[in-house]
Amino acid sequence: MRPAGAPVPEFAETQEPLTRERWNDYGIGLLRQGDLKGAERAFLKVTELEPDYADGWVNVARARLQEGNIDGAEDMLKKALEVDANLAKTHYFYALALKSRGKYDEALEHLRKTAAAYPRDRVVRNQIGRILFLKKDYESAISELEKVLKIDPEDLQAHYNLMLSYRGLGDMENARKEQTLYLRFKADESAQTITGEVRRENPEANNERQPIHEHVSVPLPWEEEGKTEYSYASDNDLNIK
Amino acid sequence: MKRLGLPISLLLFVGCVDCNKEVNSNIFIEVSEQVKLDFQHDPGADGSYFMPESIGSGCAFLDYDNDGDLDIYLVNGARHSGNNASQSPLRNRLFRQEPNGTFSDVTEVSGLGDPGYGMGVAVGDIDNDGNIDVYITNYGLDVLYRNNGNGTFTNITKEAGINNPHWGCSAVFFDYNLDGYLDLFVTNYVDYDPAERCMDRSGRPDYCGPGGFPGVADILYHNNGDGTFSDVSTKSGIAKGVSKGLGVVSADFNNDLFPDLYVSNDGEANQLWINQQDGTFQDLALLLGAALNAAGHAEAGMGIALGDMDSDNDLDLFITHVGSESNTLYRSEGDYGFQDESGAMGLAGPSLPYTGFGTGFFDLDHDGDLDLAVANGRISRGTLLKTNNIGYWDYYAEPNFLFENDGEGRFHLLDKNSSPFASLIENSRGLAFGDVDNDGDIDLLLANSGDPARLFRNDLEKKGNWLIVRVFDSDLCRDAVGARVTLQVSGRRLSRFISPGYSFLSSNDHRAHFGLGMDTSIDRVEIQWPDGSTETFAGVRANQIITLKKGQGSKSRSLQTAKYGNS
Repeated sequence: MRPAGAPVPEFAETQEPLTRERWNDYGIGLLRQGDLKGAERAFLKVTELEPDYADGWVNVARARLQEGNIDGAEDMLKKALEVDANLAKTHYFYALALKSRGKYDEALEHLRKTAAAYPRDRVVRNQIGRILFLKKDYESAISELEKVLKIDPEDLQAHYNLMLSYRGLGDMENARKEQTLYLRFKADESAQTITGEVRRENPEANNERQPIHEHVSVPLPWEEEGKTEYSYASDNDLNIK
Repeated sequence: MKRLGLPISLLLFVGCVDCNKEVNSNIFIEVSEQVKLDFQHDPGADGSYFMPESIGSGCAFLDYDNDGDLDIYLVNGARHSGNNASQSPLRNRLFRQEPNGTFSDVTEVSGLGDPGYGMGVAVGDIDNDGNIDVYITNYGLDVLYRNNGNGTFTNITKEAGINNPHWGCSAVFFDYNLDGYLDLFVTNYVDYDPAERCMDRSGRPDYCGPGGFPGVADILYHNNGDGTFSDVSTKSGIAKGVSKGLGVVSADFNNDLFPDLYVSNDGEANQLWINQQDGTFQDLALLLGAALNAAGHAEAGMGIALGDMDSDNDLDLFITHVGSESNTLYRSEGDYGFQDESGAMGLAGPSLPYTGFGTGFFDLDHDGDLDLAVANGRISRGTLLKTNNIGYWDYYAEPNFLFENDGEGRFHLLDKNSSPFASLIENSRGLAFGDVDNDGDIDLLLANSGDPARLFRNDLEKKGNWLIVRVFDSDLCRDAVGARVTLQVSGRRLSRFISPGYSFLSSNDHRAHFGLGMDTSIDRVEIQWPDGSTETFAGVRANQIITLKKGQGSKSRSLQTAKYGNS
C-alpha cells in the first residue's frame, strides 16, 4: 500500500495496452483506498496513454465526483462521450453529476440510457427512483423502486425511498410497512461496536469485511405462516422498455 | 460601530466555485488581536491519540453581565495523562467586552474557569433571575454554573442534581413542558476506552472513530423550578434512543407550540424527538426523512444549522458530516416532513472532501435570505493543506466555508480569498454567531482545536437594511427562549425561532437578526411566545436593535397550524 502523500511511481511507459491497464488498476486501488488525488493522477495517465479508451476519462470523473469537483468531472465525462457515446457507465456518472446540480430531468435521461443497457442493475434503478422522488413524482418513484425489489427484495435504499415516497402520497400504511422492512434489512450499527476490538487487531480483515444483518429482531407482522417473503422477477416482470 | 482603525472594505471581483460573483474582499476581518481576545486552545495532545482531543471544543457569545453587549466564553481541553492529569493548568476562559470593544479576561474573578476536559457550552437563565447561567459539557463530569448577578459564578452541579459522568457534547436549554423554567438536554457521545489504540490507513497511530465504541443515551433534565433538576431521560423516552450524539437543536418543528429536539449522531441515524405534550418524546426522524442519507445509510452527524433558509416560514436543517460524506440540507416540506435537497441547492459537492463541525444560517449580506457558514477540520490525519509552519494539528487542518444564498434555490460557495474565515487552514470545531459590536450584522467566533480562537468581524458592504429583535418575557424576567419572531415586510413574512443552542458544542446570540433587503421599515412584528400566546407589535423602522417585551403588544391569533407528530 502506498503511504498517503507519497509520489506516484514512474512505471516504464509503453503504448502497450498492458501499461494502460496497470495504470488503470493502480488508479482503482487508490480510489478504493480513498486517495482521490492519487487516483485522479493515475487515471489521467491512462487518458494520456490511450485517449480513445473511454473508461479512462470516466474514471477520472469518478475520482473528481467523490472529491466534490463536479465541474471537473463533467469535463471528463463529456470527453468520454466524445470517444464512446454509448458507454453506459459514462451516462451513469454523468447523471450523478447532473443530479448533484439539481438537474433532475437531464439526469433521468442519462440514467434511462444506462438502464436500457443494464436492466437488472438495481443501483441505476435506485438512482432513477430517488430522482423521481426528489421531483415529487411519488407514483413513478414507487413503480421504479418496486422493480428494484423484484431484483433484490432486501435492497435497503429501495425500502428507504419507498417509505418516503409512500409518505409523500399520504399512504401511511405502506410507509409504515416500508419502514418496518427498512429496519429489518438494515445493518445493525451495534455490530461496529461488537466487532471493534477484532477489527482494530486485524486491519486486513477489517478491509475485507461485509455488512451483516439478521431477520429475527424485526418480525414482519403481516407475514402469513409458511408464506415466503419474496418474489423474484424475470425480465418480463420488470417491464423494461 | 467600533472600527478600531481598520480599513474600510473594498469591492473586488472574486471568483467562486461554480459561478463568478461579485463579493466583497472584506466579508470578515479577523480582529482577535485588536480586541485583545487572546485564547489558545490546548487539547492536551501527548502522543497517545486520546480520542477526545479530536472532538473539542466549543465557544459561546453571551451577555453574562447584562450590559447589552456580547461577551465570549471559550472551552478548553486539559492534560489527561501522566502526572499532570489531576493538576491541569488549562482552564476554560471568560472574556468580558468593555465599552471600547476590547475584551478583558475575567476568568479568575468570575469563577468560570472550569478545569475539566471541556467539550461544549450551553447558556440559559435556569432560575429566571435575569442572569444567564452556564452549563459545560466535559469528557468526565459536566458542570453547571449559576450566575450570581455580580460578575461571579458558583458551581452548583451537585446541589442542582446534575450528574452526567459520560462524554457530554452539545447541550441546549429549552422549556419542554412550558412551565416557564428552562430544562436541559445533553448529548452524550460514546463509551470511550482510552486503552484502545487505532491506526490510519498507512498503519500509523491515529485517533479512533466512534465505530468501535458503544453509544451512550442522551440525558433530559427537568428543571424543578427550585434550583434543582431531575433526570427524566427514562420517563420521557429519550433514554430509549441510545446513540452517539454530537449535535442538538431545539425548535417547534411541527408547529404544535411544544418544543421538539433534533439530534445529530455520529455514524448512526439522527433523531427528531417530537414532543408529545405529556412529558414524553417520540423519534420520528426516519419516517419524516431526516435521519439518513439518500441511500438509507446513517452518516457521521456533527453540527446543526437551523433556520428558514427558503423563507417559507418553516424550519430547515443543515447537518455537517465527516469527509467523504456530503453535508446534508433537510428542507422542511411542511406536513410532509423533510426532503434532502443538498445537491439541488449546491451544498453537497463542495463539502465532500471536508469534515464539517460548527455551522449556522445567518443573513451575511442583508439581502433577506439566510446564508451559511461551516467550520471544517479532520478527525483523522490527512494530506497537508498548509505549506509552512507545520505543526501537529496541521495534518487535521482544513479551510472553512461561506455559502451565499442566491434567493433562488442555490447556495454558492464563496471563494476562500473572500475572507480570512474561509482562507485560514486550521482544525476548526466550535462556531458561534452573534452581533458582537452591535452594528446590525452577524460576526463569527471560531474555536479551533490546538490553535487560537478567532473573532471575525463582519465588514461586508451590505445589500440591504436590517433589524435585530430581543424578545423578553417580562413574566419570566428572561429572554423568551422558544419564541418565534415573524416580521411582516412588504408582503413577505420572515421568521426566526429563538434558540441559541445550535452549531457544534456552542451557544449563540439570543437575539433574532433579520436582513431586510431594500425595505426600510417593518409593517408589523408578530411574537409567538413560548406559552402559546401571540402578540403583534406595531411597525418599526429598519436598522435598529429593539427589545420587545411580553405584554406590551396587542393580543392576536397565531397563524401557525399544527403538523405531524401528535394526535
